[in-house]
Amino acid sequence: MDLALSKEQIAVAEVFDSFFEKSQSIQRTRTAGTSGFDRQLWQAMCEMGAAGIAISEQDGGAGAGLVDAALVCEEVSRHIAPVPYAETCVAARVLAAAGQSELLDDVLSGSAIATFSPRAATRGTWHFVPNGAIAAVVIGMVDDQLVVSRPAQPQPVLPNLADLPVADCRVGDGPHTVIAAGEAAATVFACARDEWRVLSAAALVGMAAGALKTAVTYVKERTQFGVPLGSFQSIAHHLADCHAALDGARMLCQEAAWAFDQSTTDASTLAAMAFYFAAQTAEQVTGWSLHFHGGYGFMLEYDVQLFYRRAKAWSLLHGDREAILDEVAERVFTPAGAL
Amino acid sequence: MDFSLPSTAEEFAEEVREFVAEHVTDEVVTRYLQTGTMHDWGLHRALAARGWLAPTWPKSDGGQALSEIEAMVLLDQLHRAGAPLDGWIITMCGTSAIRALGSAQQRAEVVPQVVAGQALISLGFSEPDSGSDVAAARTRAVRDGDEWIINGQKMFTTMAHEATWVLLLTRTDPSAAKHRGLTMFLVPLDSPGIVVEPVHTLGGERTNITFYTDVRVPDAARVHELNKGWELLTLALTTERGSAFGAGSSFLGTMGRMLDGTLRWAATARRGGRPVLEEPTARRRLAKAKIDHEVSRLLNLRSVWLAGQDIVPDVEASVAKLFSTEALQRMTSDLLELIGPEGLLNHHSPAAPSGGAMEHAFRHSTVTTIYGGSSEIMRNIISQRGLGLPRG
Repeated sequence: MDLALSKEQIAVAEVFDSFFEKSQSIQRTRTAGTSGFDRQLWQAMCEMGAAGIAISEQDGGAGAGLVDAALVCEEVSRHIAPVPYAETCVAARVLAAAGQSELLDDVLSGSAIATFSPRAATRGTWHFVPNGAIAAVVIGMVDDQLVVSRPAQPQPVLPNLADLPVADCRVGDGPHTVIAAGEAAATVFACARDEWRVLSAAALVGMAAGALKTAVTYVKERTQFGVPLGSFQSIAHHLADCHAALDGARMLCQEAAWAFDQSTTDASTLAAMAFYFAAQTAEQVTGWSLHFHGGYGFMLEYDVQLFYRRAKAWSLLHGDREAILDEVAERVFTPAGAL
Repeated sequence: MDFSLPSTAEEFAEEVREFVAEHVTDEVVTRYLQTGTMHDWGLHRALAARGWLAPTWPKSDGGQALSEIEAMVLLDQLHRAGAPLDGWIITMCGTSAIRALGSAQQRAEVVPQVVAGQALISLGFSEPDSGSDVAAARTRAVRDGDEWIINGQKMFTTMAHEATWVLLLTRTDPSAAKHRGLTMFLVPLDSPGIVVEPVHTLGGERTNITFYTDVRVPDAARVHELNKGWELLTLALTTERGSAFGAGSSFLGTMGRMLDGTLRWAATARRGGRPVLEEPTARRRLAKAKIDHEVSRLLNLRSVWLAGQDIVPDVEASVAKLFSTEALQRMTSDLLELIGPEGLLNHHSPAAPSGGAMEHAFRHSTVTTIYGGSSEIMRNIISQRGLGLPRG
């Protein structure tokens, strides 16, 4: 047992932390507006090898795993960087497993953006596809087939809560390839969806961490009634609760990512648990963080509202959060009632 | 990064399961529920015989040189089975402090008796007028030649009716600042002038109030330096909170017991023609409880893992205690609600689901956010030392 990150993993987190800090990613998010995307920032990230971090070296990646990808996800969200990171990682892993090496090279280099539809197509359309408005490659289920689709042109963004580049994607708009069918397709899809849950959990942890840091800085500086806001226990104690839940969410998320890297039997269960808890925590933490900004938290000028919107939006992309509990129950509670 | 338990801990868990099956019998659990005494000498001596009372200490000191993780496995499984362990846990909190800061004579006389399972130590810290503000203690110790004369009262001196000694926080210098005028003594509970009166609690546990009238002890009973009682107390509480005894302690085990008991009930109890365990809303509630349990397990594991590397997990231990105890209360409230009217029944009723374990957990859980540092104290530690917020 070793609950610490390796030196290399700490270095990965630090590199991306300072990269997003230097590139003023929050400002870029504001500039990107409803497009939700900054191509220059994404290109720079791909040149740093971010897209292929959880891809084997022989497939052109860095040979690390989901734990490392989760760390980058957390940094992306902590800095609200307008880049399609989590879905790219998931899509790249599907392409690598399917032997689509040419397409994979394009995705890792940043010349083609790939995404993953967590929902099967209905009547030829994947609905609410994360990064669907910027993707050149969409991977998803059509009936019992796993399909790689290359839309002829980008789909229009669906105007939304957090200015995410979400779109509906037509399956037959351009060339498409069936990469798996039947049972095999279901297995690959389920694994991709679980990995997306883990990386989304990491992203939600990042949002909560970013919002909490903003709130802590604010309540130390803001003076009311002649004292810093943070000296009031009614505020400090809520922030302590936020810190505790955030620690728990991060650990559960890392455990789930580690479980995938080790192919443990409970990886899928942990992915569902990590997502549920991270989404719940991110909503609470970003909500309190906004609240302790007082009226300024309601102003668009302050960054805390960006975290608040994203936390809810990422959760909504997964569907009704409570329904995830059904999957946890399905996997954990056998009819005999044993844990 | 590796979340798997060490293979030695897995093997050890199997050994503990066998021990639990043999020694944590229905009779032991029932006796505890009836008397409220959270200690069973038979079980305690069986633990001593294995060298498990001070599991992480070296064998030369009467321990088994187990890892902190293994100690957590031990405590978690014992608690999950409903074993009465407070006598042991309280004793080890005091004994660890004596082993670290006590005199050579205290270490030679007291520690071996404790690890052999022959003696318990009660903690005399809180008073009727000082709980969370424990440094405001008013119990006085006044020097008289080679002796000290002690007068005062202590609240929540749990196990004082079974213990050999009480580790007593006293005020020795009323003119000094409140944290600097305190001294600790190890006082034999059979000393003339001590009266122990029972205090009965919502959880069914018996604790005590103890009165000290002109109690005389030699200076050799002083633990650690004069007026350095606060240092010893802080060490005892921080170490306890961060170690397997604090973290793997009753919170996690009680959560596990609550889940196990509710699942056992839900698998057989029927509503609307099907087992409750097949009811979608019941499944969601149980899944939520399971997630809280896993998060609590991880936070406690982190704390214990840090302690195993000789790092005192201050903020991390507070995070673990705060989250686990609050989650335990959420869980006991919601799962008892799920059980419905049957959840009313306590251990006196043969029809009580899972022997009344959940009804008991509901009552017991109220104290977990209070003792060992209340949730508010944990939040102070986290917000000041973890987040760097100013003191109010």
